[in-house]
Amino acid sequence: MSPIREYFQNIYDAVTSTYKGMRVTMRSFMKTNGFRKIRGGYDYGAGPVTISYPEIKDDIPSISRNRLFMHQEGCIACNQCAVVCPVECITIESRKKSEDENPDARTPAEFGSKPVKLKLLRFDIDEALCCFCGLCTEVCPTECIVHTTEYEYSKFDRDNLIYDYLNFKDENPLPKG
Amino acid sequence: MSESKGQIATRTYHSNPVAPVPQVVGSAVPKSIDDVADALKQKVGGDVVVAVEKEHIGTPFVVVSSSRIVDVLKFLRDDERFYCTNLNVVSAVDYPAKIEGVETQLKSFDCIEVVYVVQSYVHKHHVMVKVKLDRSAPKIPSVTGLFRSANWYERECYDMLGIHFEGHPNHKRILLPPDWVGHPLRRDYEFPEEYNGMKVPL
Amino acid sequence: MQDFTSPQNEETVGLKTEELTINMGPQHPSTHGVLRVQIHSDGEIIRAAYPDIGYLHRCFEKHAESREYVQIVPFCDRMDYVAAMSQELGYCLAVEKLLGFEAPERAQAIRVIVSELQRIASHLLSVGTYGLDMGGFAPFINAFRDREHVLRLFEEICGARLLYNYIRPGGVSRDLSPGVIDKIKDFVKYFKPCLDEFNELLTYNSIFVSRTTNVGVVTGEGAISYGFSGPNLRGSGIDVDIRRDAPYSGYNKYEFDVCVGLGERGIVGDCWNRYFVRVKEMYQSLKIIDQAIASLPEGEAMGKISKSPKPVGEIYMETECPRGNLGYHIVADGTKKPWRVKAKSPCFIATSSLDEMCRGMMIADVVSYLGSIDIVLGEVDR
Repeated sequence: MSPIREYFQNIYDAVTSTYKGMRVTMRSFMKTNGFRKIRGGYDYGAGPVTISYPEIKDDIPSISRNRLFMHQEGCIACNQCAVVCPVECITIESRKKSEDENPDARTPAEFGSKPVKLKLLRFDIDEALCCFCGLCTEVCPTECIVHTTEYEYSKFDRDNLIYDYLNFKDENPLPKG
Repeated sequence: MSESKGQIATRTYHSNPVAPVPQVVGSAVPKSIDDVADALKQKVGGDVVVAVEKEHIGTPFVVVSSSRIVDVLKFLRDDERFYCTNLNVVSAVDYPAKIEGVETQLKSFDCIEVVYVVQSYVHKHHVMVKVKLDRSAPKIPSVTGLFRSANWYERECYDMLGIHFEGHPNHKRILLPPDWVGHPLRRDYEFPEEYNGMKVPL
Repeated sequence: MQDFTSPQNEETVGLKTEELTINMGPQHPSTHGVLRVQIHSDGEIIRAAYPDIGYLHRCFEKHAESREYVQIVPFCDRMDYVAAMSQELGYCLAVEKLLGFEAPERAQAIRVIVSELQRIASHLLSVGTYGLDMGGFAPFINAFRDREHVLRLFEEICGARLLYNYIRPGGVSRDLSPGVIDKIKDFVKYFKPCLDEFNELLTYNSIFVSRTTNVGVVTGEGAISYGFSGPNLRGSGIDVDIRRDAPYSGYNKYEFDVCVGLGERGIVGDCWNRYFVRVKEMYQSLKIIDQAIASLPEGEAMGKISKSPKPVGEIYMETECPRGNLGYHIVADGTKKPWRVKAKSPCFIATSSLDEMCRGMMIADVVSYLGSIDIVLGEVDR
């Protein structure tokens, strides 16, 4: 191709490809049918996708694996969760019950009504080490350790992230479940 | 830009001598690891092959002597029946000495094994070649001249297990800092307490 | 490639020149992670480039020696955090082969659906950040909007957005609910026009084309010698794909094309062709997902396998990840913990090619080459 023809071909290529790209952006800009539906399903491609967090928060599915919570009345101190954790973030201490400590106790009905033979002395989870894999929730026989949907629990000091579930005090009380 | 539309690259960017792609395939293509061992014994030398393992679960492999590894891989790369031009991985495993009275299902003891897996894109097979080295001073010739990818694989084996590759152009640590002491993937490795004044968390 | 040696004329003879050492340091917006490249350059033209890795080394192989087989799956995720499902799939297939176990058919189909969705998400990140490196912000935003839909789908499927722990030895940990299958079908319907739109935005843009064609040309033989695999190898014209040649997990039931760089723009083996192979692969992934959902068999999602398996043997198994061929070399000795797990990562090898490929390039072309080989430093360093 002669140099002059190539020169004008280059200009034509540059202008048309830039125009095509800008047309795509203009099309998205013109879609003004409001925010997409958040609840109950995704309305793919219906307008702007940015939501103004933290005033508006997205709903996350109930199986989402965020911070752990342990219901202490359901724990039978079987140590399965501490053994299966890949990063060893759960610390459990327990001892056999003495005679006057109600040896026939069972866990409440929603935790399977299993017999409680050991007294739980300490149950700590270091949430800074936790890798949110969900293995501890799968092996728990009473399902007392669960993943909640809580993800806004930042602290200024890493030691404050070691949660003691026997004396659980939550500074930012959100519904546990 | 416009005159190079659809042009396949004709100039060789690298001077890597590789045999031309074989045209005749079919019955000559090897079927099992025994064919590999026989071809190696015939073409490379009688004493190259030390053992052939195919009874275990998993990939069958052939054990060769460590001083002839360059000849073995060159034969596997250039011969028309094998044409294994791609080096998949160079991996190394440490086996400590057998402890009396302890039951184990491992097959090797008191050696460091270096595993080479080469693959052929033309015949669609892969061959696993192993070499057993002495645990106290592991040394093996480098295959960087045959496969460019062996360069970094061998550096990593040196870094993690302390194997010395003779003839390697850049024999340095790759993943760990250059002043780290010890080779971590050895079974008798002890974690250091401190590194440059920082405490090493376990 | 033109030879950019500095011209000697009357004005420059007698002037002293030195080589400049520039550190494209561990913190850099275009190196896709913590990669340090030590560049020795003569003005703008590079004479040598030495990559320096190890900043993200997290000792995966040492951890794997002291954990049980099911506990290693979260560690496999974290190697290539952008395409986590593919890493888990490779590991679980290797362990299952050692046990002589085949996952149920429904689990295999779910694994294929999830792997292809993961391939789409990973390629979107790769092409989006490549457009960003070349200077365009809109392709990045479009790619991440669509990637966000995929991550939300993953959250519905298994509960996590980026690091899933979903594919286990024996099957998958949780079955797909019917609502999720409808959402995946909606996504596939929505995404195809988005890909066409993305092509209009970036692929044939003349600035992008002139920055990426004829840069970083790797011939077919060179690519095999370097050990490239996956889209990097196919971009140089070699027609190899593990999903077609040695199929695993039921891939032989689905029809798809293997996308190879054809040289529509530039030369086969340059950065543009490697990029375009990724875009074409996304179309093929949509095709596979459609077929897998249409023929999803009934059954269980997890086979009858013990919670802590004890395999014996030694295996090397490769699968097709979005970045290349990920291989696992596992030595098992019959106890609950493996003796050795070695992960062969494709990005490690792609980074090793920087040294030779960057000689003679300009410094801006290094960014172009790095973006086209698509490395993630988590996998390079493990």
